[in-house]
Amino acid sequence: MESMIFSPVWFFGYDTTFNIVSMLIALFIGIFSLKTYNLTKIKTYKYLSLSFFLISVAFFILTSSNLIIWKYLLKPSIGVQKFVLIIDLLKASLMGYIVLTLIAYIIITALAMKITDKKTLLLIFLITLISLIPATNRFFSFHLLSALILGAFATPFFYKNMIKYMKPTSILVFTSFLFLTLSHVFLLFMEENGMYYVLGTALQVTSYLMLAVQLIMVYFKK
Amino acid sequence: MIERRTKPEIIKDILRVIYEKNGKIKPTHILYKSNLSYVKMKTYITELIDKKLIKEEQNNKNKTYTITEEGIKFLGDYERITEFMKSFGL
Repeated sequence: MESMIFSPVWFFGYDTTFNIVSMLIALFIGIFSLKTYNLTKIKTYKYLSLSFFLISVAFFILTSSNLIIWKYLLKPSIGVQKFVLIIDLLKASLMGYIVLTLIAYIIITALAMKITDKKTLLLIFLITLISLIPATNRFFSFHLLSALILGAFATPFFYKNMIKYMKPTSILVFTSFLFLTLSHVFLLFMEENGMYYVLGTALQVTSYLMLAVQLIMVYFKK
Repeated sequence: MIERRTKPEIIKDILRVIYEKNGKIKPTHILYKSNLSYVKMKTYITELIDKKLIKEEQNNKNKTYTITEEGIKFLGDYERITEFMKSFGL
């Protein structure tokens, strides 16, 4: 059976807080992207907002799962029937988190690579999502796919953009995606050692905090 | 190659021209500074008045256009959004 608890006991609660922070930041980026679309009518920003809304929903699902584990599964008094029901619910919600996050990453990557053909995009979605079905360890596959999608395609694009503008905000976006890629690399090994989970989760929230700083800088620009 | 300006960019350019002239400008100045044909400029001006981003004033025989609070807010929002777009580069 796939493991669903990766956090060291001392870190439990911190990861949920980090996920809530990331969820809120993704939501705000989504709202600002939508505002950008409404003002400019550039469709790219409609899809960027969609991808950040998906990330936000994915974090909401992950946070809910963590809270369920915290509330029920860590109690010794839980009955077998209830245990099985909660495990099924957790499996479904964690799959939801994985699928939504991967769709969001693919959208961001497609925007960066200027892929506009819907059939090509559908093919990428299908290949990515179907590759999860036979996986014995879906979390490993998810983090591997995420690290590859972000590391090989999205992050190099944001690097080029940073070089092009050399502005603090573009540097923050590139660094944020670099950290997000690295977080998935660390999370690949979370079953080996809980410290990888801690490092991966910390890097992930740092990447979203960088996006928050970028948004604050943009918002208060004079 | 010269890139074609998008509609929001043209609106921003017209508003900026008015704003930089202390918020009030004659139509000939808009025509000269915003790099538009007369017909196009008239269309944009009508739209901006409808959207309450600028208002038309008639003094004697002279017509002037003034940027409104909404127009100044649009300019601020547009600059933030341009910065946001540059930071992602999409």
